[in-house]
Amino acid sequence: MATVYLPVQPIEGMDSAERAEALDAETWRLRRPLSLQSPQDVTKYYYPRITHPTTGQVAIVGDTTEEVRISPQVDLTDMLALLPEVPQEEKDGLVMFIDANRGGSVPFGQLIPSTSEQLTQEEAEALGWFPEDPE
Amino acid sequence: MPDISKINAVAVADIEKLDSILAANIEKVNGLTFATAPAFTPILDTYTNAAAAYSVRQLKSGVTVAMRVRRETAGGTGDDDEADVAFDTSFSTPTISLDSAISNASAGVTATTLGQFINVGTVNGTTYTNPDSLTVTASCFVDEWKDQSGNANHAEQTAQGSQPQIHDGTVNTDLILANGKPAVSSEAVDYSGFPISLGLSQPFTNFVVGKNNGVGSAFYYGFSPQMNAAFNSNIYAGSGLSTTVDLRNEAHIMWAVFNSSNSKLKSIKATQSQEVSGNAGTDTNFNYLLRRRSNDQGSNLVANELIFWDSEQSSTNLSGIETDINTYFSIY
Repeated sequence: MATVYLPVQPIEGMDSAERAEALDAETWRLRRPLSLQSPQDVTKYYYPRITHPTTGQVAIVGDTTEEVRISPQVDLTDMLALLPEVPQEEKDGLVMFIDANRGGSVPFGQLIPSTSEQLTQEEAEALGWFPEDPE
Repeated sequence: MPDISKINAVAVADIEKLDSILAANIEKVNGLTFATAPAFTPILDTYTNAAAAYSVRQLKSGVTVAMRVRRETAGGTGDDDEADVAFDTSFSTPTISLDSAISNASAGVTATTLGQFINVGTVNGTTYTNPDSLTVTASCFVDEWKDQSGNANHAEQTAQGSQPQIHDGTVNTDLILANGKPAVSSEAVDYSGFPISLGLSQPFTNFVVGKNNGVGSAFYYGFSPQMNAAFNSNIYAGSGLSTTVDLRNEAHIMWAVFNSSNSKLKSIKATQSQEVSGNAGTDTNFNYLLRRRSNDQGSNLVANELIFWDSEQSSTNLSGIETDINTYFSIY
């Protein structure tokens, strides 16, 4: 297990929290596409998210070694729309990678865009991501 | 007619069923009066106006669904399907079990009981069929622990990576247990737990029942206020109030009244209990239930029940609630 903290930058029309929520939902839809979800399903996201106590920025708390199952019915359209800063060549490569692994699984670490900030536990602590937790 | 006090050396009050017949429905055995256990009165019918209440047993009349769960089959048939789980009313105190009826399930689910839903196999002599054709026994996670108070403060966890468990997916095994009763476990999943905001104000009272299976902290809720069943079981709401009761690897009941400098805390395990009073601070808005911190050593909380009242319960009520809880969970 290799925990990674992914602070999410805002994009036009979405603040950090909204974009993080949307990315988290699209990560879940890699495994359980909307076409397979039932209206009464409660589970909608893949990973937990945390909020910086000072800045309010939101980070997705992922695991780079975790195998994310890829549904044969996966649809990447909405995921790609959330990555405007990622070079087109990289997005094309992501599509090919996902298509090649439909019905299988891929390590989450290989889904993280090159443009994303990635923090270790120690780096996240040093940057003040964890609120005071009294003992 | 003499009364029967025991059958096969088991006290009648501890007998749930005799030959599959509920004890409450048996008047006589061999012509002798069968003195049965008193009728079930859910705790919140007596100690009313709870702000939020979560349990594996029924706490209030009219409440039928305990929680909503999700099964994991590692990518196989039925993966990530969900269902509501009812209390098993074959028990005198309805409690979830593998025989619990399921409902409101994801499309395609045909199982009718929790044991079928997870394809558990054979447990306690009962073999559960596999109507959904799962190829494995599913792990089972809680994505919503229903609030039984009537205030709809359901504890919901929408991220699959943070959902506590009620079954670990091992074939032919029962639900995760603590104190002999089903329990919601945050042991195996970092950051597992339920985000929550109850809007409580001081004074408020809460009771919890569970077990800390590890050697570190075990937070029922936090960040502040918080209740920690650990080395010096304690509460904190801006200031700390601790007992000397070590609850690591111990089944326990804890209760607290948060009332600033007039706060109280009691920690109870089988062999020890202690009640303390003092200043626990003035914080009121904790934001999670059962959160397991990844940077905490050995956080292994397995919880049966959490109840909150947005008021200070009287000494009489504190004693009565404690007695009701212990009668069911048999901590001491």
